[in-house]
Amino acid sequence: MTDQIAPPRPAETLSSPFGPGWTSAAIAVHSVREIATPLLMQLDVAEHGSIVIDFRHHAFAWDRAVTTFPAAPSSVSVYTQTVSESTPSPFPLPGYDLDPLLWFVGLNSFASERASWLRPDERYRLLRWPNLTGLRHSIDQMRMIALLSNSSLTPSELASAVQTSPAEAQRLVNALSLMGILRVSTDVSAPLTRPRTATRQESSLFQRLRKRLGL
Amino acid sequence: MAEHVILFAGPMGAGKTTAIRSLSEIDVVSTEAANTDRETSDKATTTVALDYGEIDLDGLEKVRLYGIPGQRRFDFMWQILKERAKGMVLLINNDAQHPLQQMLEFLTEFDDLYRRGGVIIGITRTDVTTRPTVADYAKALSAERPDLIVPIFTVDPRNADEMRMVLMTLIVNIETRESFGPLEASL
Repeated sequence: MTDQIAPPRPAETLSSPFGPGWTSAAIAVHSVREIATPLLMQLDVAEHGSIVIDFRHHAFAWDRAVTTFPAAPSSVSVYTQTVSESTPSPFPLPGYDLDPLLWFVGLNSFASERASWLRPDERYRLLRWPNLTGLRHSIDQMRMIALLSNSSLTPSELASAVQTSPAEAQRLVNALSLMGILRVSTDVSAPLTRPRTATRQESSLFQRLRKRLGL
Repeated sequence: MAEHVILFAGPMGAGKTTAIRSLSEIDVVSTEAANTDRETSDKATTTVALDYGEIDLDGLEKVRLYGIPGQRRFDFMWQILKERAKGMVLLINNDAQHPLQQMLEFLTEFDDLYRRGGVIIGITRTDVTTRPTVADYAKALSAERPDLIVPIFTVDPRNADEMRMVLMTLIVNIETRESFGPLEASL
């Protein structure tokens, strides 16, 4: 059983000028993580009930299967509530791991454009791999994550390296950034680390194994 | 015939044999014996020599899967196999004693593979205990080896889809690292 967050005072309600979809939730989550204050958050998702997030425990609760997140809800209302470190969680712990929710929200916000907290000409590198067994992902996303674990890249450089669209690369960067697992390089003069040898995709073991395993 | 050797390492009871069974296209050749160390692991049997399985790519190329014994008294076999290995899946059971320390010890043993991106870590038995978390493993690894980023996933060795994804991630990471050249020791 999940307790609802107590009715929020107006000052704790974040209005959404971003219309339908997950963008307002993404901005709210990113803001909360930036200030690193103990907070609960409730996302009221149109026709899909309420998601309650306890950032202290990197966990959330929802009365539906986590595989049924709607990609484009008609509205998401965001409420926050400050708590102390000792305040009991509103749901039984451990709850659901927060990373899959952040991954999903990050991928499905900002209409595949750059997230509002990111800046042009930034390069990104992975701080740690996301736990891919817990996330729905594509093979291209896996390849882009492998690149980001070895080099600092802009979304356009990333897209070019795996021959996917810039929008797909931007979605991935938005998601990894929302999860807090990207290191940002703002020194645009920093030399770009490029592969010393280009891997011919059609001849790689990865591609042959992918074909053999039917992935 | 081209061969690619993938090792499955980790402490006793981490699920190495099961993981290879999930991936192999042939009946896995397993050499197991009665476990005389029931204090470390409650398994009745444990791998004492090797498990072997394989994936045939096109009749001319094979991925060979070797499960290597978890106990240190067999570490002479680690040396033989790691020289042939392209990569390694390190499985750590989350309910083991000192799992973070076990992970670091195995990575030290397989440092060459580790440095060239040839290691992926699978945390098993997270249904038994949820802590340490993946973030805890990543933090421990970063404190010890800040120069390297290793994929760390939770995984159920019985789940063939998850094991295929682990294997694919290992291979893509190796090939990506190879394209950037070897890491310098000073990094």
